[in-house]
Amino acid sequence: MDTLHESFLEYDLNPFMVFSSSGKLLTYNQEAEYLLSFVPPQELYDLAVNYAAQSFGFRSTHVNLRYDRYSFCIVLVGYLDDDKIGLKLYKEVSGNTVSVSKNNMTSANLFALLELSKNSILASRKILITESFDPTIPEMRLHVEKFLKLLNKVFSEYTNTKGLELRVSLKIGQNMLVEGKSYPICNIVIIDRNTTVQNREVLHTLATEANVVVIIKEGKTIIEFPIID
Amino acid sequence: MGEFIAVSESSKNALNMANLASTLPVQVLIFGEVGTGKTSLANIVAPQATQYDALQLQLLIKENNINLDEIETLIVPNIHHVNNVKQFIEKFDQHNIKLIATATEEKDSFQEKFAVRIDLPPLCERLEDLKKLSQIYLDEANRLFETEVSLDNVEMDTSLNSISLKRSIYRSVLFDSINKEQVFGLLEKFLYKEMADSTEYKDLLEIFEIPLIKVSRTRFKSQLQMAQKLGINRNTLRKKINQYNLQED
Repeated sequence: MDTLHESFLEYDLNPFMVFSSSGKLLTYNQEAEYLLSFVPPQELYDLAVNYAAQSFGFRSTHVNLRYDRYSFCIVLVGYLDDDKIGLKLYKEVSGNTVSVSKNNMTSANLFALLELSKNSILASRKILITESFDPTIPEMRLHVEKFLKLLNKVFSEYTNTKGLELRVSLKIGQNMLVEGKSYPICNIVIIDRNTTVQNREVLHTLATEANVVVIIKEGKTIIEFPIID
Repeated sequence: MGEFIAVSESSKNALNMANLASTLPVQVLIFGEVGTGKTSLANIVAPQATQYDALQLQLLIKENNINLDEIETLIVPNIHHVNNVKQFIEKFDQHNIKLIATATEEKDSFQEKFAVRIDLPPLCERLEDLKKLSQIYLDEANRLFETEVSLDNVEMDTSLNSISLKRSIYRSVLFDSINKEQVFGLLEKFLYKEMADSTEYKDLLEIFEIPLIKVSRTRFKSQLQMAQKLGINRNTLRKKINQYNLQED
């Protein structure tokens, strides 16, 4: 393959990787390298095997895959012999990125919103909440009503637990670009190993409406948003 | 509109939520049984807001008798009475009106439409509030009837929360303040109404005999003692106790 083809693959915004027949990772592009930082190679190899064509060749399948804050809409798997299998995941254009608009935002105290939402949803239940808040987080502009509805829905997922951990902190070393200006990112993390979030799509829809990102992982839900002053 | 009593943990929590919600541009639902203090709390969320009962407001909107563009905040009690709550609230969303609604019945659309929900437990689950509120009502009643009845001597009915509580305490104080002449007057009025259905002397006698037997049982320890003090035959007393189903458990 010539250098141009290789470079196109290398700089493709969609992750591409090649595995050996035993599942060993042979090659991958930059985007795949990032994906592999939070998804185990074995999981991606299993995905490739599951979506491979029955015989040699290429097969693309429309899917609804979500890893961390990224969602993918197409899986392309190809193999020409028994030694190697290639996998390319096509990112969904919307849903995995947040398009923040500063219109209709109101200045609010994040901790007051958390207090309101916690009390609205969890107060009547005997749930032990361990809190760890960064007190330096300032008032910020948010779509308050929609943000509260998202928080309510997230907390609703945890109504059957006995205890959960709630962390609010700044995301160190990362910023979010909103209307050409860079803002620090705030992180709300709700941790409970005994709860599996059920209404993932509802949460992602509410997050989009509230102009924030929701990341659902095993045992935790993360809400990320820019601190717009 | 009475003040919101917040001595119990749950009502302190509700008051804290109301204060927080008062600063935010969000739709608020206050949920609880009748007489739990929902409207008092709504007035803390929006002290200057106009108040319309949900059905009254629905009619005003339907007949174009209200200009929603001129309203910023509304208190709407009994929103559960409206047929399509979702559609009803969307009307206020369109006009950027902050709504503080109250409800005694659950509706599916509440969670979707209200960003803040404040639940008020019944008074029987808020014992500290019950005590404080009872004392307030008792003080009011004692002032009104010029009595000095204590909390230990009043009936406290919480079946309709503060509504029945106030009624029962006022009634207890009224009964305590009443003199013989007033009892006669009260009985006259009562008998006048009763005589429309029953005029027989023996049927009406229970009005006197039942309270008498109940009180003497409290005062005296045995039926023997009751009969002696009342100056009637023990068999007659037992017959009357059976007749009125006043046997002790």
